[in-house]
Amino acid sequence: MNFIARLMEKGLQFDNVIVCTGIAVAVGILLHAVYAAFSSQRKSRIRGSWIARLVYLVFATLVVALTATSFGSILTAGVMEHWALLAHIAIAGAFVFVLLVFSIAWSPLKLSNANVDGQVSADTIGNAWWLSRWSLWCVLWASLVVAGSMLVAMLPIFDTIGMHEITMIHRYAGLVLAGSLMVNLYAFAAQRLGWR
Amino acid sequence: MTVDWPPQFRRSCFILRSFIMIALIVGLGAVSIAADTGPKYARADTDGHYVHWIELYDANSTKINPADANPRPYSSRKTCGRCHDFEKIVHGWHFDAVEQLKSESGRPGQPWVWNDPRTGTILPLSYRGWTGTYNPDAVGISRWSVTKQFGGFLPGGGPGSFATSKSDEASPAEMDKTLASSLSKSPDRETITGSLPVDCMLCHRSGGEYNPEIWSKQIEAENFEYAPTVASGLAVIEGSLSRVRENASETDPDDLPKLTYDMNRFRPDGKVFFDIVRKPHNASCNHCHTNLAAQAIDTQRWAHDDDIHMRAGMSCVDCHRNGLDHEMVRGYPGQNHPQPKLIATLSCQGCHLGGSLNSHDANLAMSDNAWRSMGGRMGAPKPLHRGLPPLHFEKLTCTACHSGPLADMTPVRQLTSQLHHLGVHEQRTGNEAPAIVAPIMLPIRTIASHEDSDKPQALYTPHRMMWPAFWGVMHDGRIDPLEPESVYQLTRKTLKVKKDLSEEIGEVKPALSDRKRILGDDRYKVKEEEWTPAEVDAIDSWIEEQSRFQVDTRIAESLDELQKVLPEGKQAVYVTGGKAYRRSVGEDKKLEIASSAEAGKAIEPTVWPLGHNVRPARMALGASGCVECHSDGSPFFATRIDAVSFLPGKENVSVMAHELQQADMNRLKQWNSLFASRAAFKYFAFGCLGLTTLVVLSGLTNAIGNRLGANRRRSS
Repeated sequence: MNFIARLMEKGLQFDNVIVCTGIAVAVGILLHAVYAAFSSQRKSRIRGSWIARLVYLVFATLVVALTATSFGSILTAGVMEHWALLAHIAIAGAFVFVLLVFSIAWSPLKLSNANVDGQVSADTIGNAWWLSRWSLWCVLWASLVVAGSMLVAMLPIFDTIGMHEITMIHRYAGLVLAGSLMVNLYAFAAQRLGWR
Repeated sequence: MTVDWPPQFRRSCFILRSFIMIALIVGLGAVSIAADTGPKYARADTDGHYVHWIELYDANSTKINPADANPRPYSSRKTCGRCHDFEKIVHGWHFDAVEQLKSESGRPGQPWVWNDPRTGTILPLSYRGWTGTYNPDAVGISRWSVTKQFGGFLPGGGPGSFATSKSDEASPAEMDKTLASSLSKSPDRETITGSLPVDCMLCHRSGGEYNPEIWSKQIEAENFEYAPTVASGLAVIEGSLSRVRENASETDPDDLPKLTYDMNRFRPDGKVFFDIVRKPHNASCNHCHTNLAAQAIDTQRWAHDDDIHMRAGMSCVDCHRNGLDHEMVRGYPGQNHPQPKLIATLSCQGCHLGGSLNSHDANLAMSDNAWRSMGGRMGAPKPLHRGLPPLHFEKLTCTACHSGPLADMTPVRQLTSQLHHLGVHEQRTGNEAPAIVAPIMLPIRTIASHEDSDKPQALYTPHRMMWPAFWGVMHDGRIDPLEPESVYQLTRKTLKVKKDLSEEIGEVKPALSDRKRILGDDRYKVKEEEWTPAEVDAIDSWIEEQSRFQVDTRIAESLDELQKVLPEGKQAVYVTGGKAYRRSVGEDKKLEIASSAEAGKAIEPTVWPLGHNVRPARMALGASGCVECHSDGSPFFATRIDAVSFLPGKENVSVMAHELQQADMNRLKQWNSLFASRAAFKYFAFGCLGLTTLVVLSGLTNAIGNRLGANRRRSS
């Protein structure tokens, strides 16, 4: 944690990190999309249950809103404050609950080839493209860190330096979450289109 | 025989000669400069107490013989200056308010307030250019008048050093010449009183016989030059220069004050013991820097606590230090000090945290980690602020939570040494003007015009506040104050006030004829105690109506008097209670209120940040929870400040703190709603997060198990 603090001190500006991460993910997706579109691979079309898709949609919307109010605010205003911070915190409350529903609906149990409830067949997700599965794992773990870091910060545990570091963990975990979700969305879209 | 050297050789010789001469001059110059930078004065350099048995010298450098028929007062410049670099000292913070040769204005401090109850004047003054204050030179107040008014709570020098040198040339910059010439001149009696000397003993006394109250009273009596001698108890004085008429040349020397030295204070060799300390005691600072809650004046002083640092055994100068140049460490982060590295750890943040958490402070944002880690001086504990979001450090100064009176819905009335002459033995009620209230939480740069309040550096800080009141000239969307003494001369016949405008201007007593008209022929001679409630009401309503009429009439007539000396296009106004009153058009002597656009910033309150008293951590703002500030009724935003006016019966301005802060209350209310059920949310959120963790972990273990099972199946 001190390493991150030192890194920030030496001039690694977080807004630059956001831009670089965004560009890297976008370029990666674009390159693969170009490659997949012109290749002749046509595989199975994945479809989840409508409930699972709805939960995914709500979850993704919340993450986009949280990203816009945090990284968007940092990129445009330089700081995260006023209405952006207010909206971010209000949405974060909903995020914690939706995360639970999302983790059940897109259960890692299903990701692990175990057919538990029969709603979503093991074939649809369990045998999904590795990028879908691994990006979904990233989304879930990053979400846990994102939510956990801020909830822990609400308790009188960490001192000021600890609070700074936990804030930094929250930021970077949030960045991983946003990036993973972009990749995950692309991976599912690619499968829906039959590119994989 | 002359040798005819070739021209080229001669030119070379000339160049060589010139070069040697220049080198010699430069070399000698350098040697002399080097010699000059050496120690000029002998020093003791001991941590022990250097005992000062010294001879006294008067302003002419003549050794004082106490047995002389008419001994002169001692001069600190000539006495102390024999061993100390006086020139260096007198440009320090406390003495440099006027010339500002070395000191920078920095963060606004408490202004000097010209308080004249006869004309209802509360005029904030400062030579430092602090927003919300007026430069006395620009108002037309002579340096001598400033010295007499405020010198009792200054250590000498400053305006007293230059009593007249600039007042003539300092033609009021903000007033035109016609106006300046039409007003009588501010009193300037420097030729009689001389300048006000710096009194080293006011701060560096060890206690003993020095009496700061006598210093204040001698300045009030215009005995400027005598004040250090008399306050030190070296001599007693008879007479006062305030009784000497303007034309000093015709003054009988017998009319001048007479000093009688205490012979017991002098050794046979003519030396006197000065009980001097290098680090001034708190009592010395407190003569000019006491801040007291008005309630403490009554009976509650015992219930008020000191600053936590004082309770811990520290002294003011442990933090507010200075070197020989007397450049004080003012203690706020970002002070532009000649030695920024040395003062980096002498602010709240620097001392307790050892560096800057925020990069807004250029002086503290040092890459030198050695300095950053030097917090904890004098045993300062490091605050942990457990669970406090770091955002607070970007929005609040340390003092916002830790200093001043606890925030309340109605700010507390305060008295200060300089403005209320604390330390001078007199009767007080606590309601004396100027009415200063605290704490008002404002962004540090929100002074009058709120010009920089939206900048990230504008940190919320507790402020003291007062409402100015003065007679002025309104023009071009602004109001310039008129010189208070001239105002008194011009308005005394119309205002008809002897001592206090607020008490006397609305004072109405029904004459017998009035009582006859109100109570009727049968009852008008009845004693007041025998009046019926209806009669009391009738008399009261008559008094109220007459009082209102009298206030309007007298103020309007006074404005008329002022208007007579004003040039065309300028209007006389009286500012009080957050409003600017002007004469209505027409014959009836009524007052009307100028609009904010016409009056400009002049009607806004004057504010300055406070630093003390620091409260213990358990009494910090927010110590009992977030909702201390993050709730709709929080005093942080919802404190109501009522303007104090000299005019009875007038409706005064009343503002909420959030209006001065220019805070977005809609957003704040939304924000506060998030804190309404925060505790329940924490339980809910941790519950959700715990279940989510279980689901994800079970997925992980399942995935690992499946992968291992698959591997086993593949290998078998």
